[in-house]
Amino acid sequence: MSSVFVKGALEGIQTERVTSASGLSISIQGLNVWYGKNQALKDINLDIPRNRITAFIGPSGCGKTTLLRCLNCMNDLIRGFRLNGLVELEGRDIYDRRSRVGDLRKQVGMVFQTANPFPMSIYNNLLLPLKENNFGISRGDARKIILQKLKDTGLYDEVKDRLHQSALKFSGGQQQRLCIARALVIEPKVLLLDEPCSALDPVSTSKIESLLLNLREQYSIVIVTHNLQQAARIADYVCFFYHGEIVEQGITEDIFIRPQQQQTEAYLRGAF
Amino acid sequence: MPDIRLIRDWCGLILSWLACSLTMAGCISIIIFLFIRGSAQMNPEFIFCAPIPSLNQDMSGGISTPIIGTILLTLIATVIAVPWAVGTAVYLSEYAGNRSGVRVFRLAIDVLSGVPTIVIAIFGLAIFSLPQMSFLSSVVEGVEGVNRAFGRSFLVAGATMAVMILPFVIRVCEEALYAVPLNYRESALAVGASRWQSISTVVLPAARNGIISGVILGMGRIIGDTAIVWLTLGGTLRMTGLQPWWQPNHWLSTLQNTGSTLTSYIYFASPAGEGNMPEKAFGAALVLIIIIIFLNIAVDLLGNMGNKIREN
Repeated sequence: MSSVFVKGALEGIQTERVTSASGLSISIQGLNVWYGKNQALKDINLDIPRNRITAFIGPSGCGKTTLLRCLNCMNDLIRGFRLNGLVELEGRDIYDRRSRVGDLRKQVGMVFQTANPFPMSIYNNLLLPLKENNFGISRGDARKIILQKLKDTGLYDEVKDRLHQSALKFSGGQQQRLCIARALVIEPKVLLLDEPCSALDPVSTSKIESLLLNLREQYSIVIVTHNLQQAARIADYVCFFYHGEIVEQGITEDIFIRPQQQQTEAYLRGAF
Repeated sequence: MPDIRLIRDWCGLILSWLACSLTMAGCISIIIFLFIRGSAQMNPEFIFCAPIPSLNQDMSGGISTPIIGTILLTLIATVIAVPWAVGTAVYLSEYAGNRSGVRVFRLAIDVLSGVPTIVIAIFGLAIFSLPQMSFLSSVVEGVEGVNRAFGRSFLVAGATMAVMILPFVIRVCEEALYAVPLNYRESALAVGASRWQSISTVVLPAARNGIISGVILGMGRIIGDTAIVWLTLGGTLRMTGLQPWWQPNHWLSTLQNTGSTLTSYIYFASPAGEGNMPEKAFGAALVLIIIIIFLNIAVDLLGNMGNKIREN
């Protein structure tokens, strides 16, 4: 299947939607995942291109989130979790025993379904990852980075007078953008988003979508979404999951306009 | 025809209201009783004078050293117990999971919480009477054939008290840690923090108020305990270290020697215990209950303050 995708990616370069040259950010080969005896992912082969938005779609419980969490080792905390296969980030096996999970997570940021700012001020929310990952960073440098990320995520004008108020006082959409900013302060290469807009109103959702389209210039983005319109609006590539397998993957137009598999067509039609 | 369900509803309401009122009445009558009996003693002399051993109640001095003793003992035990309990709670809630070995560990903590304090006191006395432990109290001298530590001092009593409140404080800390949403931990890990970083910078601060409430309630139990004081702090009303005990350069000697707390003072002053000064005992009991009330108010205020901090 990976060859199908690469072919798709190559074709994609010719379309007007994809303009700059890209490479592979993450490569997944023969990935199987179990929770206890229950196999959650079966033989996943997938290449995630650099500086593009890849969307995972599919019904609930189909393994989208599991795969997303495999990309920064977040499943390791779950009891009974087992994995085989290869996940490479920029050519390095992330499940290699010698690689440190902290280093991986510096390169792969994650935003969760519910906005989860720490119970502290906006400023400290962004300062905490900076301090943890760069010992001895100066106050001035930290402040510069924090303000830059707030501007990048479009939050700065909304919160500039309230930087030292608790992050929990802000709206859901602002909190979620804060979480994106928090993921970005340590300059990851990849940004994972697990249904980031599922609890947000349409205005906040559209703000986040345009933010992601801007961020695409600098980061490889993977987004899990139940919102098919959202996938169609922002994704360059789409993977359709069903029962722990990738049924179909390719550039967005192909999947939405000319699905090759019957299951994909049925899902897009809303048949399940 | 009366509606049976309505009557049942009323019965339930009235019974639970009665139970609640009875509790309130018990609590309030204890406090009122102590105020009536003890308030006559409330004067500066009673609070600020050291007790004087005397058969005459009017010449028996005040309760300054028992008050200081209570504070000292509570501080020592808290300093020992808090890092110990927080460490244990962090291990149990963050690292241990649900392995069978851990279940034995939890069971042991439950058992420890059911051990009567007098048993813990005997155990503490036995351990701290070992000659190797004499640096915590003093060496028994001048008794032929005896080579052991005295086993009674503020330090010994503090350590024993710490063991006594450990299970309670561990439980409260564990609850406070469990109450921290999982997504705080996940988001901390996801920004590249290590396990310990996520615990120390996000989880523990988020659980801080719960932990502090637990510690204050634990302090309440230390203040109220008598058996451990009686056995491991000794039966002396006054401070027995180098005199004057309050001089800063005598601090170690004071901690290594015996004294009294409000609870042991009550026991030794009350006719029900070993004394003949009921009025003094009621006075000390009133002071004790006022301290406990203030501690509980502190817990309440802390809870409110925590909510406000989160909202700001």
